[in-house]
Amino acid sequence: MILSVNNIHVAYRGRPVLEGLAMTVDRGQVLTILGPNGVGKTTLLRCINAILKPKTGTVMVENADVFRMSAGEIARQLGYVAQRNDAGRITAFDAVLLGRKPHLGWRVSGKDLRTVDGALKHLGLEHLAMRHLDEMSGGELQKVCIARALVQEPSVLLLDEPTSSLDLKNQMEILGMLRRVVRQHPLAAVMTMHDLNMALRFSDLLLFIRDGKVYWTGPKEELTSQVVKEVYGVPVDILRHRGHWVVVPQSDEAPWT
Amino acid sequence: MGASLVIIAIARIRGASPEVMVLSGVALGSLFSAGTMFLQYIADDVQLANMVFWAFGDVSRAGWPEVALMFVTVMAAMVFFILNRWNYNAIDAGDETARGLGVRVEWVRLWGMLVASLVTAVIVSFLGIIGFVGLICPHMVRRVIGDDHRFLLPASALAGACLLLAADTAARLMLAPRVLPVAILTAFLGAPTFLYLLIRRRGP
Repeated sequence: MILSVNNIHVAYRGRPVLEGLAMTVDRGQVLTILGPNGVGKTTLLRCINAILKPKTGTVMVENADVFRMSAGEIARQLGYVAQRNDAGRITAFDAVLLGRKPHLGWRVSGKDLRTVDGALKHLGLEHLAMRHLDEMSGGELQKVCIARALVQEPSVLLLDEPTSSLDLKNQMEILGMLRRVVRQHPLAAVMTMHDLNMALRFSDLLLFIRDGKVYWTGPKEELTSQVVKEVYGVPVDILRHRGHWVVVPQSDEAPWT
Repeated sequence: MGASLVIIAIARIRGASPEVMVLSGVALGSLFSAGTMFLQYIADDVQLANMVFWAFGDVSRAGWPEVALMFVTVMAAMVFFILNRWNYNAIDAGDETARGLGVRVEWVRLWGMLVASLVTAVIVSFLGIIGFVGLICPHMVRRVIGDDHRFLLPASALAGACLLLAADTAARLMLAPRVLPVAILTAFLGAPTFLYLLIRRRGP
């Protein structure tokens, strides 16, 4: 397993947020963390990246303990795409070059420039290279942010709601691009998301959090409507349509029973 | 520098939003004005005149030893800021992104503020208060060359030096043979420019 998270406990102002949470992901897999608002999905991502230090627990990346690594080492192992990204007056090329920061010496080397060039080409973003971030659409900006995380050359990509404010076309493009990158490199990706249908379509593994614990985790094909109902409190049907699983709520109106 | 530490402490408690920083600055500004007024009140005529002249910042006040000390301080600070150029670019992309890139955001902010305060303290002690140069130049330069600190930092330093030199030359020539304190000129130029920048500022 490239990423293994064990027994994570996090409390916020004395209130437990995550209690004994554990998960594993292998190379070439996309795992999506799901659950209601405020359940601790982003907290878990921040723990994996050691931005937040949990009360107890370990995060191992390629058998190395993340909490014993320096900030630079962590950034070489884990690429993080935050939920909110500020767009300054900087070109996409320079924004992606920033992802080389954990590898940079005093000067930007030819290898750094080639890596950035390669990532932009690989993701089909060459045409945006010289465009400023503050002139970009939300979808373009998110693609640049993923490219920035990729040039860190990480083993694991962490993405916090990567498609939360994007239209359908951009959601499909970004998640498709992500799945392609994860399989080709191969690396592991862990993301948080609210859209169950997008999660079912583009992930290999799902992990549902309820009351600070893993309520259910497994391959997407094994998800049952009972799990969704227990986690969100909404009765749903899980149907197969054109080779994809889709979640359809049974009724429009609350209260659901 | 003490004021910077208080602002940092408040920012840590309340969160480092621009509003918190600005309002803490305003509150501390009033406190220090009160201190200055108190000193002016108890001072004799000569001391009072000195204080008033110190408040009109002027570059002609420094001799070579002061210039040497300011040069060393400014150069050391410049090296510090240039070494942190990638960290500032990362923070510009958002605090979480910066942390993901291995930047210790709070540490970089804290030391950045302390070094900036040290430079300001040294220069103000020798030359008095010359306002608006540090406020206007980086923003003007930013509009031209963008937000990349690899270029923004040296360009801002250069632009600041040029502006001060030009303002000082103008201040010496305008009412010759009388020399106008340069701070009066920078404030006359700076305040409207600052308002212009506020109005023209790009939306979020």
